[in-house]
Amino acid sequence: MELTRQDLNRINEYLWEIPKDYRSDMRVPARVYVSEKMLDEVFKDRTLWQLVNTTTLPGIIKYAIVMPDAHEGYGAAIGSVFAAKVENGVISPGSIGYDINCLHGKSKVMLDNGVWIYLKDLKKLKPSLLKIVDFKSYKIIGSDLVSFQERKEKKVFKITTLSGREIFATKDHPFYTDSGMTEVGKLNFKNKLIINPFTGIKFERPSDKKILNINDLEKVFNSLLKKGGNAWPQIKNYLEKLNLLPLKQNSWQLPIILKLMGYILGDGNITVGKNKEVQVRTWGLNEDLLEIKKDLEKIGVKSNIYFRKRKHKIITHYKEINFFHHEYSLGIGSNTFGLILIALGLPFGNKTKKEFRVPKLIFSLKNWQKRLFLAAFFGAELSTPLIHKNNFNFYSPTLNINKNAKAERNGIDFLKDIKKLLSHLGIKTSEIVRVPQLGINGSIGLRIQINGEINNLIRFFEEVGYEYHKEKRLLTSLAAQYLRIKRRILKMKELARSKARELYKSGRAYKYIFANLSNEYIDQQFLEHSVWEQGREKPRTSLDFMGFDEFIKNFALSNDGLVWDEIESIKELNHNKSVYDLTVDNENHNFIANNFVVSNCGVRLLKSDVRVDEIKDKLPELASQIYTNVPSGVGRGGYLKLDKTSFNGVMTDGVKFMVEKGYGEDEDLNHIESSGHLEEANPDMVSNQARSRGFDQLGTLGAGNHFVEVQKVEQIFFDQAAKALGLFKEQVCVMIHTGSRGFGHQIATDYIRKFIGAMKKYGINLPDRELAAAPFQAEEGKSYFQAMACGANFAWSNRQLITAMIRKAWEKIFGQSDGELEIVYDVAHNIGKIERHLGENEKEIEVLVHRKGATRAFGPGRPEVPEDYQSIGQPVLIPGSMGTASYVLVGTNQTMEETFGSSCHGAGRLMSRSAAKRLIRGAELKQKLEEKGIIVRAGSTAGLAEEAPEAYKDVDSVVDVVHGAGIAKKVARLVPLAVIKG
Amino acid sequence: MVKEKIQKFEVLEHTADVRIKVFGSSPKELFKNALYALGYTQKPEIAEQSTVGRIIGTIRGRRVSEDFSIESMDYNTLLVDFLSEVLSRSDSQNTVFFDVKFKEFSELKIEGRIYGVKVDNFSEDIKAVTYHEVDVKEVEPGKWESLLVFDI
Repeated sequence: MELTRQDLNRINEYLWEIPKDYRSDMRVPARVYVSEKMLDEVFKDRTLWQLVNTTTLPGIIKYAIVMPDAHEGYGAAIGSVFAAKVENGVISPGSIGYDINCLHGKSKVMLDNGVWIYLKDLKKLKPSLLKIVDFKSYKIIGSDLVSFQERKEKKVFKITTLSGREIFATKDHPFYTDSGMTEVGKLNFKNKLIINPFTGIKFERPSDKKILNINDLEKVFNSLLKKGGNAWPQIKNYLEKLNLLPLKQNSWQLPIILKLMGYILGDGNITVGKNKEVQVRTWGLNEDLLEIKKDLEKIGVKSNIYFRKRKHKIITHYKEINFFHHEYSLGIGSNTFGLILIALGLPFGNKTKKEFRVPKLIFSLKNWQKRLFLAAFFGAELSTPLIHKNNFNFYSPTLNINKNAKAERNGIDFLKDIKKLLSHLGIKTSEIVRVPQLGINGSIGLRIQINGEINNLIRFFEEVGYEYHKEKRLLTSLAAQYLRIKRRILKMKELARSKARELYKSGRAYKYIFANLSNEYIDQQFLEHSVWEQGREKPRTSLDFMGFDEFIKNFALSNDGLVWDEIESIKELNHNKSVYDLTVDNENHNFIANNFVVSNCGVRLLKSDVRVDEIKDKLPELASQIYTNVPSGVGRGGYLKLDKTSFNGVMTDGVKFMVEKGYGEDEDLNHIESSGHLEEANPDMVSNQARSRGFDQLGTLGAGNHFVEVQKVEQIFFDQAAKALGLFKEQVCVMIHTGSRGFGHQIATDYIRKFIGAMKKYGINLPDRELAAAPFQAEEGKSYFQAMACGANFAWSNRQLITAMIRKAWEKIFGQSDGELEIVYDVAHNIGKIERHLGENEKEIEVLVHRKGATRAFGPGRPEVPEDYQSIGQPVLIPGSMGTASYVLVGTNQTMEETFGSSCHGAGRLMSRSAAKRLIRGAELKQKLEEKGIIVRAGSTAGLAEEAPEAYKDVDSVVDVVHGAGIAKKVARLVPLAVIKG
Repeated sequence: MVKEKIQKFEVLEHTADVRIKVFGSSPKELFKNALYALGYTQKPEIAEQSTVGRIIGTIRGRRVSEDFSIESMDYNTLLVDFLSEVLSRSDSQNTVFFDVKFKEFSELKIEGRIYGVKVDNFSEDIKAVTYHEVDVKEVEPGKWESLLVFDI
């Protein structure tokens, strides 16, 4: 799809945004800093397409950015910035712990609100949140769906687990196992997989039928609370803020309200006081009330949790228990919300005396919505899954209610309602029983139970369960899995028994039967009984079958109910149908996109303390001397030959090493980004090939747009900053633009290759191979970052060595009388760095900022800014194209907030190199520059033409956008006096 | 620009880098032509001395030949890995390679010998051979092509 202007939303004069929904695989929006005037230029090449691709990188936060100087690169556009979360985690959705990647369309995917859908329906239904497993904490968390693909596959594997679960997946599909992520093709028999036993109910789209509107509520108000004054207008006002009415069957708030209704009906009450106030109060464990509070907050309702110590007496079926109870309760202060609950059919006042039924509304809803109401009601009222003393069987969960004699009939009707709802969900229940001893103070006890048959219990635990009760929820998950294993073993035994009998009948010896049928669960005694005691009833689990305690010890994984399950069989099947891929948005994949850091190039500005007119005559000589001293190094090595140890020193210590070797002063370190040295550097991560490419390139300029320019300060825009930086009008400066040369490129090449191989392993799919990425915390990501740091150190060392050679040239021409060249600043243009920035919810987090053809531009006060520049912010150096102006700017506080402390890096190409060559001949260009009074010293005139100013965006417009947008502030404009190029 | 009657490659537009479309009657020939395109980009004046069929024999200069062996996942990665390897050697030894003879050629592995000449400098300093847009495919029977982007 071609991007057009219509796809860009204007945010302000200098900022445009491509919304996240422009393409389905975008994880964040994309932002473009550009002026109206320059806007057309960004459509000239594939910059925006590459920007959109960048937004698909996992772990990316807020938005991806391109600067006004951006142009097409490969992989990501040059001039782009983004940040990805650093912390680690691994993802997985659904009921089986698989990393999502190529599954059968009928795989169930868990969503929020206890529902699942078939994988193949994901695209159609576009759910807001998938449930996935965070493999670091083993918690079940929500995650956005990012992209979804479909493809045909000839073969799939069917995996069956000990608990009898089945899943179909392709060979390359990774599962999270006890030995890490493993592809199906490499799974071992008895490998353990992670299971989330809770599956919930199949999602169905609710209708948009109205449930409650403001008039309905006004009627309830009039009948209950009518009084003078402005009570109703106040409620109306509050309702408008809540944005809840009209409540419909498909309102996003309804699932939460259903849960609240269920829980409050079970363990809460609504009172209408004398002063006509409606109070809602509910009781529970602190952690569960906190969950309720959070849910209330989601729909905009405030609540408070109260605590008190309370003496308690409970009369159970068996005995009377006295104890102190630490009572937590939750109160909702708002009249309005209580009124809404009443209007939806909840009873108010004393529930023992009052007649009430399950609100009619519930019956009109979809099954998954009914479940939310029921499960929350059960969270409050249904007994906990309880293991029998024999440690193998579970008691049937029981629901008891108390009614006074008058309301007994109503109590029975209420339980009938619950039975009916459960039957809609396929759950069998016992008859309603009267339990007189349950009644307190003359009231009548009524009871129903979930039918204790094993299949019914499993279904209840897996599909209905409990809400707002963590402990019960955990136990249901464990119980479900335990019962499944038990059921499967029973089934296995039943089969073995009939098989044994069959074999025996056909004349096989017992020895043969034993040899063929015995296994872990089927022992000699069982087979003997099967063969010789014909009339024996259905098999039972043997006594040596693990008890529930033992199961928990071996299989339970987390408080969220995740358990281990063993693989029992893996079979390859013909499929010839679609399989589906999907990607979720989770910090798990914190990626470092390695192509971002290809050349580690950067810019350094040196200042002299002389004015142009003082040295004008000697400029040609100076230019020639610099040209002689600084080799271009295109196929020719630098003058500094390093031995192996020194090369390691450059890689690990960067400029610090160069200064130690005498190529600079200690003060130089203060005015270089990161002091010219990244700590993370580890030469072991750098290949020999990269070393051999970099070996003799230190101190060389390279080709392309890399150059040295002698410049003069032409204009000052920001006096205070210029003063702090030591810049003044007509001052002579020298700018160096170069990077890590072949060394850095080889590092990138090496790792892109590694990453492409690794992407499959991490289940990463990206629209462009060149965007190859790996989790930052994974081995590949870590070693790349360490190797890249070596590249950055090499680049800074390179500019340091070139500085030393320029200083020598300066001294040769001017002697020592004209002072020394001091570093104003040195910034990297291509680098990935770990920094702290504001994340999505305005909280500061650690992120990996990728700057590809962009510079760091930290605002005043950041500790990374040199001490003497603290009050003005970090200098940003923007070279123009050859022969045009360059700029010095400083970072701002806005930079920190908007662009992860980043700004643009140069003028930016507009025309391809070959087009530039066609447009202008090198010799002609040289002449043109010289006519303007600019001295040119260049190796090849063809190379000169490629870098013709016409091939670039106008640097003044680029800088105006950056300045206008507030993501750096103009300090000074410099113009060239002499251009030195390889 | 290229003197051959049979087109080995074609230079396309790209804002910052060199984008090339390379051709061949088989994957093997496409790989051979891709190597030539790489050498051509680095040093066109030398490449243009060569004639059809006998590339290296017709180039003047100090000749160098070296063995190589590359394994990869498919034609695409194999092609990029091959050219990256050549570029790496080229850059560290100041040599431009123009020709190749394959001893083994499959979708997963290539092995053989590359031929080049020593140079004083490169006309174009290629930083990297990228995976960007690489797609080795048979567009019609007996006609293979792929795009290639060199980062310069």
